Amino acid sequence: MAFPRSDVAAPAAAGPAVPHQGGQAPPTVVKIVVAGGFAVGKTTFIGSISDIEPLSTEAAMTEHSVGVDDAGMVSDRKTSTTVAMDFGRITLPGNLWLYLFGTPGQDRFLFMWDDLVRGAIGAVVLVDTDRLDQCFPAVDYFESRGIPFVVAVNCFEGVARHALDDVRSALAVPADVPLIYTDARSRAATKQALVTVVQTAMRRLAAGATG
Amino acid sequence: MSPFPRDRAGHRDGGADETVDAPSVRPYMVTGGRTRPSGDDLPIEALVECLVVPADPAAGPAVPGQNAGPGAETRSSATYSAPRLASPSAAATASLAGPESRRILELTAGCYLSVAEISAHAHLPVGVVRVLVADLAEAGAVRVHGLTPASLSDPADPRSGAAALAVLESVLNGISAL
Ligand SMILES: Nc1nc2c(ncn2[C@@H]2O[C@H](COP(=O)(O)OP(=O)(O)O)[C@@H](O)[C@H]2O)c(=O)[nH]1
Ligand SMILES: [Mg+2]
Repeated sequence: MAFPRSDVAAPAAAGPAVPHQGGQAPPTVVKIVVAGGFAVGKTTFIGSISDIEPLSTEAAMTEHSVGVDDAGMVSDRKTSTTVAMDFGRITLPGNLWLYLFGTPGQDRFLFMWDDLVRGAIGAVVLVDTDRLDQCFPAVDYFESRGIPFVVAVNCFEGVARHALDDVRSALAVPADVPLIYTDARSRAATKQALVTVVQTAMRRLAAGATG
Repeated sequence: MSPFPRDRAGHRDGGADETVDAPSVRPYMVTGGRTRPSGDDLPIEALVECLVVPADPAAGPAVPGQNAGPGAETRSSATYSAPRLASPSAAATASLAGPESRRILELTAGCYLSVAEISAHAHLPVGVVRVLVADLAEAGAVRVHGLTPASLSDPADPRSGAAALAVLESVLNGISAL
């Protein structure tokens, strides 16, 4: 069954609805994805601005179904690994909730990015210039799917070790992909990175509308 | 030193292992072995709203249409018992009666909560929460909001570009004012 594309539920079979949050309308939800290699600062970035303590959940489920045999034992052992996904939430004026989802950082988890990224405003690709290659999968992924993204160089020791121009040519990203320095621990820097993502998405949308 | 360039032909697997051993197979039992039936396209950021009041498990099984336990008379709202599906599969019926569904209703009672947050708080994989929430929605026990991405334009709807742009503008202003 496809999940019904309606925000209105069927009449409550289990009884009348209870008042909800003093009748407050449901928030509009949006999300931005935070990608990058292992230990590049994704969780730190999310935590620097999230209203809630960053949460972690098991996001991966294998594509196939798990069988339960007659003895009540699970017959398929392939699903013994899961992937930790971190996320946070920011409440914005106008009854808006912005979720920040961190991607698991390795190539072999790309299959679950589709799920995380579907419907996102855009993405921040965090980069540690000492391990630049770790961001290649993320850059390739967002580029190939036409998802607005920003490359944010996390300055671990508070110093920029490489010029952004060098990083740009090493990554081979076009000029319309913003490149910025950031500090995942700094709320102000994180804020600026998110602003840049939203601006990039708005430019895309405006260009698509007129062109 | 300049960083070495991105090789578009392929890249190495990055860094240390991020996988963790699953604690148990129990979550898969919860959904009767189903991992992708309904709720497939339920976004992880979709908000779940509880429409019923979970019954106190200590008060014993609630009977639909009847009050259960002391204090129930004063409660005008519905007491949660396993919601009924129009055409339930055995697996779906079993999942609605389980403690995991009850937990989802407890977590969402009185506040909107995303699928991802339910998953984190209930210690259930996202895939399991999706299945259970879809069953609960079908039974009328919860309502789901945010199924359509507010920040994207729908190519089939010419007016959706402007709507999406307005949402992005609110997000931009909101973040800037933080
Ligand atoms: N000095 C410094 N340390 C950082 C910075 N960002 C992250 N870290 C540290 O790097 C480690 C990995 O960060 P984490 O956010 O968990 O990375 P993730 O794997 O991408 O989620 C943690 O110990 C952080 O405290 C930064 O900007 N500067
Ligand atoms: Mg992390």
